[in-house]
Amino acid sequence: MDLSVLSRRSRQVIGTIVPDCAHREQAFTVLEGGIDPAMLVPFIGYVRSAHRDFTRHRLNGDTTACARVMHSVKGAGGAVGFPEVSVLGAVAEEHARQGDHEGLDRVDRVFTEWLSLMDAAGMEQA
Amino acid sequence: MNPRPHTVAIDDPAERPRVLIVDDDAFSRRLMRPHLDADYEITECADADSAHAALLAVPHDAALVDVEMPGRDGYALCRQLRDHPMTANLPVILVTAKSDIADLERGFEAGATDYIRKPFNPRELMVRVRNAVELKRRGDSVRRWRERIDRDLAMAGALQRSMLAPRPMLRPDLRIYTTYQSSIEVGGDLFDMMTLPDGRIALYVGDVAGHGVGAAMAATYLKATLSEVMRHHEGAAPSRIANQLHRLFVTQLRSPGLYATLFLALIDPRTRHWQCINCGHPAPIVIAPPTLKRRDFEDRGGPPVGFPLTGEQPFREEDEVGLDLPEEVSILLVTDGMLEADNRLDPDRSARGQLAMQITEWLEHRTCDPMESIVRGFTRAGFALGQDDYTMMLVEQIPPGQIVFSETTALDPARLASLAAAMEQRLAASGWPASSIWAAHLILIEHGANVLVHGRAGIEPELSVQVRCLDHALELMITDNGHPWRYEEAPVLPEDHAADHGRGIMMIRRAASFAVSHRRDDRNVSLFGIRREWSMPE
Repeated sequence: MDLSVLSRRSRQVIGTIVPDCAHREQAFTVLEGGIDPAMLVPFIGYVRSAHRDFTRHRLNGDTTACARVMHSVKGAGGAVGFPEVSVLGAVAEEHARQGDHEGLDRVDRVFTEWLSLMDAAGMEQA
Repeated sequence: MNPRPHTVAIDDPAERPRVLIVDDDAFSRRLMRPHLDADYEITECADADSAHAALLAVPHDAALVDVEMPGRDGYALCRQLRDHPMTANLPVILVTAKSDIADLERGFEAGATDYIRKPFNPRELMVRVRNAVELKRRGDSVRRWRERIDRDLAMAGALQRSMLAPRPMLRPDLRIYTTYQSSIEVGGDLFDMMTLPDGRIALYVGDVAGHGVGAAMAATYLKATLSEVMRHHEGAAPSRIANQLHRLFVTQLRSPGLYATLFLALIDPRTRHWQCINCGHPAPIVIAPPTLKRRDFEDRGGPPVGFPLTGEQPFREEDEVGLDLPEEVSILLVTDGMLEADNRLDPDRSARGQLAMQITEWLEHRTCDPMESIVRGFTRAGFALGQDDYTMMLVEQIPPGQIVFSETTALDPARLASLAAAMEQRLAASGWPASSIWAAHLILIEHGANVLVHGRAGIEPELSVQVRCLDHALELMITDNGHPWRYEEAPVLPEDHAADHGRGIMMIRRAASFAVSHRRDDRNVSLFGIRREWSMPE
């Protein structure tokens, strides 16, 4: 899949629970040329691992740990050309700090969907 | 897609700057590393403790510190680095996904030098790291330079102090005491006294304008040149000496901003005639008994030595001051470091008046070393010394009528004993209390014994003693031809260590209210003060 198409699909997935994502991602857009192809595979691996930790902490009701994991995701997404993932991380961190378990459930589902999208896009090797 | 800013690659890993990345998130470290690997030796750490240990183990040039870490966070690490001398100057770039200005403020308060927000732009990361490394290199360079300057200054100061060692000149007819202190390692004051081949005594006090190395070197040059000029112009008037000094100073140093005030006196000790030239220097302070008609130095003289646009020979004979000073008069020469000292207790108090008072008090009681006594009294009165270099030279003329005993003898134990007995008799006949006579006896015997025991091989020991009686104290001046020796530099030994070596020194220290000495004509001249109402100190 073309990286620009992948980027658009990624934004669509995250936009389902963050309606103002396009506006918020401006704060996390640091790369001039979109997704960094060299970091794509490692990034997906990183998000998969972070999502696993996040889910575990969420199921344990540990919102502090959830916030810490999503704080890292927020800091990483934009650096590889996925500012919308940083936005999702920021939203998740906010829910965790507010103790909003329903919000955390929604974020968890969107991360699952986002990873499926990446897999479907041929990034299974991640 | 993200062009790298211009960098200079250094191939030798040992030469490459070292940058530490500390972040508990391995992916964050992985994101940074590719952008820095080409130019820096990278150390990765996952927590604050291991980062601190790594930075203490190997000096680094910059550290990228994540703020949010389990355990101690980035702020705490930053503070810890600032508190340790090895890492106090390390540039720390905080890496943070926090965006509040309060968080950044907290980082800078903890000692961070810069910050970068997550997610970061690689170019921004590289520029900030490069700046931090450059900052460190420049800071290190400045620190090395300052250390070298400090070392050089300390060495120059030690050399200058050895040239300006405040040693007294002790003669039967005249005593000259000096003290000198520079405000930094080196100073621009100069002073000296010497006996000229024609028997006159030359003395001077000067002050080069300004501070620092330039003034200190000019002072050293002036001192060396003045000695040469005086020796090569035997019998010359002070104005001629000053003109010669001025000419050499201007033509050889060629620096219009450099000039020096100077008071130069040539004294004939037989007639007590002072022939002086004042080259822009503060006038001497005259200390005379109230019964004596006071004669001050006239306000005459010329410009400072080396002062620009004053011609080749700015000093004329008419600028000189000639005075026949009565024997009871003492003179104090000072530099403006003393006269212009601020008084914290009473800003209107006159430094001149205070100095005159301190000297009068010392001349009367002689309870301790004269220079120490004057400086202590001056600072106790509120005057703050140390803002500028200061020099004091006290010239005390000795009225012959105050000398009650004067003898010279070849030295052996029997002659030493009879010399002491003769001195005792003379003092007793002058009405001195037994206790102070005993102290004088002890000093003479212990000093003479030292000369006998530690005398120079092949030289017959000889000793002269002169006793001067004042109202409240007596002075014992002993001249010997033993090994070079200075009481001021003798170690102070505790009593239980002084059973053998040093016992005599310790006893003399206790008996005398002050002891000063100098070496002249291959002889030690030592002067001891003894109070009239003497008792063994506690």
